[in-house]
Amino acid sequence: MLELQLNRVDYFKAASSVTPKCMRLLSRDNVKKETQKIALGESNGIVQLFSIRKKDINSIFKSNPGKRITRVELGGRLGEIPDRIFVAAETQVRGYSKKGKQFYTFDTNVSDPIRCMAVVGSSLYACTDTTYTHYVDSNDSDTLTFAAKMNDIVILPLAIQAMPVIACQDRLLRPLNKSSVLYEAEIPGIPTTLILSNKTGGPTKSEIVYGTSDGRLGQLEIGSIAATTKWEIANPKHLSGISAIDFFDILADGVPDMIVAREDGTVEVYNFETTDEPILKFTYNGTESITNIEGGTIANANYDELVCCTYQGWIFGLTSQPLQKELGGDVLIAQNDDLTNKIEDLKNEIEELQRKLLMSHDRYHDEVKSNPNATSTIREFRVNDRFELNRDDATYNLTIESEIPIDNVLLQCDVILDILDVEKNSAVMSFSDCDPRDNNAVLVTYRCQVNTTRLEMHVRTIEGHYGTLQLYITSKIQPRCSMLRRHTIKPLSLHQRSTLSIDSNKPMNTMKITGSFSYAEMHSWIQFCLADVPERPPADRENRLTYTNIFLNTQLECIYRQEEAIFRSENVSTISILKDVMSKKATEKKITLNISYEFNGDTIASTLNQMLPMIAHYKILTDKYNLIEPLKELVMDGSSENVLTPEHRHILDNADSIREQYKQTPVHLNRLCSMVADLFIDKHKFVGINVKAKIPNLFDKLNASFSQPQVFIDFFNTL
Amino acid sequence: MLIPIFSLQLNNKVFPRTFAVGKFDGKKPSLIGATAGNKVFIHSPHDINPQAQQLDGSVSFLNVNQVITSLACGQLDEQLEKDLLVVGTNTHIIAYDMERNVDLFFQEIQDGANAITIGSWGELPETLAIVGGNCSIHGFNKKCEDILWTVTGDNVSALSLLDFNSDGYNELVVGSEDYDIRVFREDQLIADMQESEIVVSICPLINGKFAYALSNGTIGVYERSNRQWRIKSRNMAIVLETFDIDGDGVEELVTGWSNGKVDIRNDRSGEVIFKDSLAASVAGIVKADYRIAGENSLICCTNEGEVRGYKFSVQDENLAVAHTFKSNQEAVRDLLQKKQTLLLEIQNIENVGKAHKELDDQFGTIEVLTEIPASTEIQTGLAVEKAGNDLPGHVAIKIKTTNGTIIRAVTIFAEGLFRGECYVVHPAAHQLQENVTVPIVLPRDAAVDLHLQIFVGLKTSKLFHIFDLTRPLPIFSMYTIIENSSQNEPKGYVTFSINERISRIVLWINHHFLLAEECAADPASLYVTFLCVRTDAKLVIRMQNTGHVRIQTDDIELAGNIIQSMGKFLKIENLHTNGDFPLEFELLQQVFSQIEEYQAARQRISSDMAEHASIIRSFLIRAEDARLMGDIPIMKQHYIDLLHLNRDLINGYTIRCTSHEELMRHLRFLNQMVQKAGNLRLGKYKTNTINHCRVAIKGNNVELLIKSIRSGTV
Repeated sequence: MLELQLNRVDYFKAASSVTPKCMRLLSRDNVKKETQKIALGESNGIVQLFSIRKKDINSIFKSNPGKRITRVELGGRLGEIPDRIFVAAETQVRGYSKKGKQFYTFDTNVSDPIRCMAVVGSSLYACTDTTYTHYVDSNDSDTLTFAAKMNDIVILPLAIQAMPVIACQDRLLRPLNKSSVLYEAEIPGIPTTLILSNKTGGPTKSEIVYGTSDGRLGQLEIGSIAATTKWEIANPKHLSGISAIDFFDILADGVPDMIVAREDGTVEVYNFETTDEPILKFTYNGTESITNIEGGTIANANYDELVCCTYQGWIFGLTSQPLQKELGGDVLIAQNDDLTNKIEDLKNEIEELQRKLLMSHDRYHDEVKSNPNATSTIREFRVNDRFELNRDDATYNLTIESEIPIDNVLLQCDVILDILDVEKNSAVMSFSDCDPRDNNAVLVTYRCQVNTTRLEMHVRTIEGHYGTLQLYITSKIQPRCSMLRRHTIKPLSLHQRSTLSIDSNKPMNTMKITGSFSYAEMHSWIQFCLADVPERPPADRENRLTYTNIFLNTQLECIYRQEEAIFRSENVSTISILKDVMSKKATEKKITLNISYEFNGDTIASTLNQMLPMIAHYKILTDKYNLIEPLKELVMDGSSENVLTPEHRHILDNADSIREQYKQTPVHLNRLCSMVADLFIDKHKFVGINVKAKIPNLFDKLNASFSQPQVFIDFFNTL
Repeated sequence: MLIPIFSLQLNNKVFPRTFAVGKFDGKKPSLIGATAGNKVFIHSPHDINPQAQQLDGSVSFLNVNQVITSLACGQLDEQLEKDLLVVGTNTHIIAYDMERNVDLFFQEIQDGANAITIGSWGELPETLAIVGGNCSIHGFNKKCEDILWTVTGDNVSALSLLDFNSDGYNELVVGSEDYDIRVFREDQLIADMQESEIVVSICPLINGKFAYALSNGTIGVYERSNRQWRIKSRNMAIVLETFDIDGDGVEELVTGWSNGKVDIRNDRSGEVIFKDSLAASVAGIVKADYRIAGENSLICCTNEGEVRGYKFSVQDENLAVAHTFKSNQEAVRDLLQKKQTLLLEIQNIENVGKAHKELDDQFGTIEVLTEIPASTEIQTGLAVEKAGNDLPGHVAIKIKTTNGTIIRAVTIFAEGLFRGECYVVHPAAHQLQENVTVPIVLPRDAAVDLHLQIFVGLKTSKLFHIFDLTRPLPIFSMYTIIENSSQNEPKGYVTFSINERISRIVLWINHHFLLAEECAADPASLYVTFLCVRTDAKLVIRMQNTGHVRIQTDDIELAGNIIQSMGKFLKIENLHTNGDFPLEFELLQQVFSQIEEYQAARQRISSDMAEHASIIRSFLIRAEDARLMGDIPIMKQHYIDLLHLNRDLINGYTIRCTSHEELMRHLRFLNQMVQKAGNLRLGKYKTNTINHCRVAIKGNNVELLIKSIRSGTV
């Protein structure tokens, strides 16, 4: 197996940002010698097609700026090489020939902008936030509205009829048949991108690969009645989200490799050498967020490369062409001269611009002086920020990505949160003291180094503490301005919508709320408490939602209609939080609620039974971790290894893996213990007893008997 | 360029900043470092084949049996022509001859040894092992004679010998936990630089320059007492070293970071020219002709014992070309980014004035925007506030916009003032106003620059204008003028005569205090009273037109700070002063007597322990005898006795620990007192005072000590 070595070569900088699926490589025109052309759509509306010649770009056509381009797709007549460029610009779809002739313009009469699109033959599939429409020859054929946002679409090229598969924000993939959903396939994270396996869909033409915002990858075979998972790659190392996937044989072993780009600029190459499961073969660590990646030959017809496009609009290649070859040296020297000239030119250009800037500044100041009513206007700069729950360790990932360099970010929150630093950030993080009278519980500043355009943070929430997280993102450029972004932290922040219905064998607590509230009111309250609740209540008169606590795996079911709502969960704390929020919301609207509970004593035991093995696991892990150092010291002489008991020797032998595990789950133990305490408090709260004073007792017992669940449960119930 | 030449695993922990290299037989270098279990490891390579990538060799250990706090190698005895190992612990300093396996000396040193360096200091003829401890610096020669002694403001955290003023002799540069870098020419303090955090490492560069690293992740370079550059990273710099990586004969600065990164920077600009990454935090970096005689290599070692060696090599041409290609490409990327930023700025500034209707046409879509009157300005005011209902005494920064726009948030970046590097004021949404008052408590008297960022907008804005401001705070910001009154005047004072007019002193006051209005100069006499809002104590400054100055305060440190600041402002080189601080002296007397008590107690506990040890031995033998004879009850009895005795021992140990801590605290107080006494004088009088105090402490004479502090002479 040849070791892969890829070198970065910069080609081009677009004028504005480039979002995912806005760069495409056109196929070669049969002639083997030619290189591929790049079609690019920018967020300032420019569409262009260019090729690379001698590391410089050779523009074939370039449109004027206009509405933001959100998708670029290639299409063509069925059976021919797709060589027509279709772009989605807000609500419009345009088609360009490879010569730059705009041959097609189509206005979808939808009010929302197009988020994703696919073109097959004469069919156009376009999705806005929530509406999917299939046009045949520009005529509306099928349309469908969803409750969840749509992130991407692929079309399975099935022999009988092409089948669209839509990736939705609620972690479901939905294959469609005309205007009906065939079924819903749940995947472990929020899908960000979809692609047909090997770009063809595999032998059955129905295999797809998805990437998620929490960094997972997986392959599904979309059958006609159900989907089957072929493989799945979890993300225990907490890598960042997947932004683009492609299939290309960069390793040149005859089998297409899977190329994956992540939001933090990492590029990975997976190989299917021996098995059907992908094996990681190569990693490139970039620093800028990559939004598009595709394999091809663009600079030199003899060498394959991976063409990447970043959010900021950089297009660069990771080329297999070696930088230092016996003969290649001369070429490079020539290129170096070119670059040196380029640097000089740029320096001059920058000086010129600086002069111009100064002049504009002076002009502006004169204007302000002469006109007392002048206003100073600043406008938004493009920032992409996301706040999403990571299933692996139950923390929220907060990512900020800006088109222009960030100077600093101020994070403010009115409820208690744990803000974790991320190793890859270069920003200096600093906690500020905060005054609770100002409604502040967390104030953190991130001072960024030069040219930072991306920042990632991990946030740990506590269920029951809800509020708003505000980010002030300050740009580096003049006139300086700062943009405010808000994210809500829901009361049940660790609950994730699931399609699994509630386990009828498990004992459950029930809370029944009645009162003079409408169906829509109850829906909005539930929406306030939980994530992934649709904007509007479904058309039926009754609705049912099921959720899973991703940390404890306890379930919650909400059934509600006008004047009645029923909540069922085995976790008393969940019910207690819901009760508090509901009462508060009703009081705001001056609605009286009748709340009745039905407690099942067994639920305490079952919830604890869920938690205690986890506590035991983490406690043992912590103990082992703490033992590593002393044990190492003991055996330092090298001779006394025999004196250790087998358990201790086992710890020493597995020291590295224990350390790794411990690092991946830093405060799970504390979180679990505080959840046990919450459960204890909530259990007694319903009876109206304050038991805060007994918590130390509880913890003592927990420390002593975590490995004997029954003993602890009995103690818990009698305390 | 640097190329890696070898790597090896020591399979031992290495404590940070204890990694060194020494030629203990005068020829072959060995790597040494402090490791777990109070041991020093010595790694000597068997294999000296310079081609081998993997290095093996023997690791041997040296038991120190005390917690190792510092370590150094050097030719303490020039006649031996080989390196000696000097190890510092909490209580002792040990000089060890590795080859002959003998201790050169084993000396108790009460102040501990936080840092050690070996070399020649000033014009002193002998090579010294200079040990920095608890507020003190000792210089030992090979016979273990305490040749030189001086004090610093706090625990010494870094030491380095270098020619600071290019006079051909080494000065000692000392970093300490009070964030100060001090430069000593023998026992005379010749320069003093304030930093913003504990100084963890100092490293000499060429031409009187030196590099420093702080515990908050800052590294920087000083040329004499002027800082040339500094950078701050989110990781912590552990060690600094120099190495010539481009072959130009000038050594570059090498930094080892807590995240395992090693980077090499240009000493003039701080620009990174080489970087590499190791698996764990860097513990030490040394430069030695390890393995290849006559050619230095750079050796980095991590906490986990991974060692990597690099050497300078002239690049082969292809590699060089590839390298320039990469760096050129990076330069182009940076420039293009810069160009785009500039273009955006120009576009912004041109758009700022335009009506947004016009802009909407241009951009097609309506974007979020915020308008404020272009004439908006920010007014700031500083005021010293006395302790009030729920706030301690503080400096209030009042920020106000000139019109109806509101202040959404204020961030203040300043060094050494806050828990982090920044303080944020973010009023609740319903309390938004056009003015904001920020209370700032300065924990100590030091001048500091406040960098304010003010977020200005409208109440419902989602986009805010940023105003950047810098406000300097003078050194004595926490003092406010109050009315003169003879009541409750401080008992402590310091007096001196200077050849200056009163107006100059008034000028000094106006520059160094935060005053609502400037102090007016009265040519006849000066009499002002300040209140320290931090402690609520008074400070009185008087001056006659004869040049006689009297500063009244009970805080000897404050008096010292004032004299040092005045001296700098008025450019006085030498100044003799007299003073009396009855409250401080009372404390000093107490401390003095307590130190004696603690020392006596310590001896008693030590002898108890020795006694216990012998009893334990006998109990153990008796208990084992009983067991062998099958007399279980007796055996049990003996073991129970042993258990009790063990408990006693543990108790004794905790007492010893606490008393040791107390002792250290008191010794620290004593050393700091000497330092403060020195600060009351300038120039040679300062050195004299410190020396007199030293004599008094050595003689255990508290009366003499107080007299020395009062008058600076004996």
